[in-house]
Amino acid sequence: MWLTLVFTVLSSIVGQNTLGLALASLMQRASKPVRTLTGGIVVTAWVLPEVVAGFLLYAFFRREGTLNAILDQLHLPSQNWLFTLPILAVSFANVWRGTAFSMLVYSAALNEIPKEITEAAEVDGAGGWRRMWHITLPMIRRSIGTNLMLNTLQTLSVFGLIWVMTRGGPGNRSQTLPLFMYEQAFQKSMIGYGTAVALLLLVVGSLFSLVYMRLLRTEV
Amino acid sequence: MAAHTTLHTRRAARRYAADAGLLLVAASFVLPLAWVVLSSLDPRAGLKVRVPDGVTLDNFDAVLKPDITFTPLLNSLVLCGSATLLTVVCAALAAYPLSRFRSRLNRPFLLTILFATSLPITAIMVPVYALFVQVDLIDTMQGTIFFFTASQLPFAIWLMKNFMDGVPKELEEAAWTDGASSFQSLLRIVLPLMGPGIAVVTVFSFVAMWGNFFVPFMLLLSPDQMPASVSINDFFGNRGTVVYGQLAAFSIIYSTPVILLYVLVARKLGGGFALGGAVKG
Repeated sequence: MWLTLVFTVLSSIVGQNTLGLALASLMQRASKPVRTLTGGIVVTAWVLPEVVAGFLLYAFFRREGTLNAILDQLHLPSQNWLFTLPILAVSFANVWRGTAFSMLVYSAALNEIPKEITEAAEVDGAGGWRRMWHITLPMIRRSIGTNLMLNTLQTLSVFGLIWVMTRGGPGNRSQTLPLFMYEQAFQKSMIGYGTAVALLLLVVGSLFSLVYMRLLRTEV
Repeated sequence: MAAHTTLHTRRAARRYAADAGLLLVAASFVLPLAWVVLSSLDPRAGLKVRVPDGVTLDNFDAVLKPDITFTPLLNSLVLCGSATLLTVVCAALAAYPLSRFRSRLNRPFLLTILFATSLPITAIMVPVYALFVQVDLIDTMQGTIFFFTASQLPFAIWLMKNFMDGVPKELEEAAWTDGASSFQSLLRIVLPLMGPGIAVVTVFSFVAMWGNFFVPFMLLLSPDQMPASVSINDFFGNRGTVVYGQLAAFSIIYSTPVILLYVLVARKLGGGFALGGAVKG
């Protein structure tokens, strides 16, 4: 199921992870009220129950929804996102919901980098991007690993969000593995086939889980 | 002096840039949230974010009825409340020996738990459904409560053990000298000392279950047992046209408890509470 792959890579690895890191590093520099405000909003999106988040983004992406209203204002072509690009819409929904977790992990990690090191690099004339690439990223390597792993596992098992937004449709164009499993097992009453899909999910999950454990090993 | 000033202005400029970037992200994140708040007060709510013509509480009025709101919320409360209680009790009992006694089994046990923590629950739901049909636990509250507890336990034990490690052992040894059994010392000494830890485990379990849609969706069948996470779907489909204002109002009522709980714990323990014991990378 390449859709599952698209969904996972797009929303977990590219979306949540990168946006989370970007937010966390911007937060290091921003002024306090802005930091609190943004943090509050992003975390609220995370704390909301899955189903509610699904409804909110359903409303956002619908033909009469907010996104198209904004696009109209900007004189850009609008379309029915849930119909034309359902997988993109649910991926964005997952990013909206899951970024806060990455942001919290990375904020904690960035806070643990000693100030002296970044300052030393700055004095030596390293620009922002070079500092990020040569100092910050290597120093939070372990957090990146942990975070990627947890995001991926969480994204693999997303059901409610997609169910509420598209039911896997139209057709099966946003049908990830959990939805496929549900359809086979219950709507088509093939419990055995559904269980096989479940097993596949479980195997993928265990592989990620094992890698994750290796990363945490020293701490047990 | 000049160099100092340029560094200063450069820092300030960078801060404004960061502020602007964050505000942009915040604006795009806030749009869906704004919709739910505004629509719940709007007498003619649609799918767009817009300032309502007049503020009304009619939507809340229409929703606050026994069969729409109170029964599902009560179901949610019974379900998540009992499962959380069970989880916390079991987790405390399991974490105590893991934290206090050296044993050859500790490490494998903890590794298994860690492994189980990160497995996707979604994946085992079909087999669990089949199992529940066979042992006749399908469509029962207690069956769902047991499954909730079981699925939440690995993470709860893991968190609880990490918090328990933070309680100094000397206090307990003093209690043992005075003749306390290990159960007494757990109850009277260790648990009271790790109040914040227990609060985190409790809130975390409760919030996770409160928002869980898939488990009750699969394991419960009769409408009068459905918790709010599933019954919210009735606003779509079953009642003909969707009344978005009421849907928004219900969403707010349903989400409020978890947001309050989160704020409560975050205030007390600082931002990333859920991450404290679990994923210090």
